[in-house]
Amino acid sequence: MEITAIGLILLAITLLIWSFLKDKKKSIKGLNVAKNMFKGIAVDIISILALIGLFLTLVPPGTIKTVLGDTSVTAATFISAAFGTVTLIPAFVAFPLASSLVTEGAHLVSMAAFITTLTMVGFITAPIEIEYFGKKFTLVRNVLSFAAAILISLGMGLIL
Amino acid sequence: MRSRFKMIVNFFKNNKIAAFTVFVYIVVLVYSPNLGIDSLKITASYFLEMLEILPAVFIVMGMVEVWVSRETIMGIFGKGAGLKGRFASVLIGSFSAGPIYAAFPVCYTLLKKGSAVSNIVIILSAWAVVKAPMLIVETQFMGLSFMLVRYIFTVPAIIMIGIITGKVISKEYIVKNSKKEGLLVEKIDELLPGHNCGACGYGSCRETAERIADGDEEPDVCVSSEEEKKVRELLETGS
Repeated sequence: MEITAIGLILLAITLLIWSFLKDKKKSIKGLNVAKNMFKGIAVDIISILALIGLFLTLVPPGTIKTVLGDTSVTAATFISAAFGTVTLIPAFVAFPLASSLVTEGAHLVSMAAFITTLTMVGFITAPIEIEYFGKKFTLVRNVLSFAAAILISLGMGLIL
Repeated sequence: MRSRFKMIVNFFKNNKIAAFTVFVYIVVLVYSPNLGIDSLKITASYFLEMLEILPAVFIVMGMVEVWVSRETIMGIFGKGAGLKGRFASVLIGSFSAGPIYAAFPVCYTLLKKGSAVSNIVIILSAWAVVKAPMLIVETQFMGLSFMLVRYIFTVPAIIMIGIITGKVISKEYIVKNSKKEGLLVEKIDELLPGHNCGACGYGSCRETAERIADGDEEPDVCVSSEEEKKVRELLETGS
């Protein structure tokens, strides 16, 4: 388990104990809020997770190797960014993958684009984002994030 | 039997994403059972990851909802918070846990409590790209200089994304288009008398309904409503 996950669980337990000691009625109201939030999103998240599972079975992260091939840095950057956009894989899978791609000759710039879009731009989580914030918000945020990811990686290319 | 079938139909009507997923899986399982089973295995590991994190995230947000006042949130993440608000947003995102979808309900709660749209976007983005455990793994695999340079470029970038999104999208747009709380507000609004008497201190019944849905006001704030009990029931069940 990640250290922040443990920290988060400890934080939740501490808050809950503190809250119940201070005001039982308020605490129950707070737990009701938590329950409703969970009920509101659980079905959507499980569905999206199932879609991600299917997607990763059809297109394993390693596929990016064959797609990248001998393309130029610019093309590789866009391909990596696009690949990062449509997938959602945890950082502890993405970084080892990116690192092995670099040893195999992939450019750092394209890997930066891959990692940034992977985490910040969510094609597959967009339906959940729309439920909470609406279509326009989701579109604006994701387009801006995609553009930023390209700029960040190009900027990194100038320095690294 | 018939009513159970109707229940299932209604469930899928209300959960279009789930309906789509189930449909896709049925097709896959028919054409290639192995592929379907492999996918379900990957899904199960993601599901466990979700169970580790989401309940804790929601409990923390539930406590924030009842203990932290609107004024406090506005002071930290509101429109007037300035640069301090930007940094607070980057910070809270950096120390979060879990994938980006866990950030959506958190950010939605903060937004309702008075945070600016721009800062919500900053929290979402920081949550996604610069959270602490991710930076540690990144250093391990890509090296310290890669991590640092990416961090230095990314933080100003996400602040810019936040500011631009905040300019383009208004808070009213989000509240109106969100399917999460919008429904609750509608239902409470229907139960209020609707003649905008103003006795509660708000300009319209709609506004009162929003306040009640947010938990800022108790249902008895409306003196001319006879549906207080129903409103309370709505708040308990959430929909």
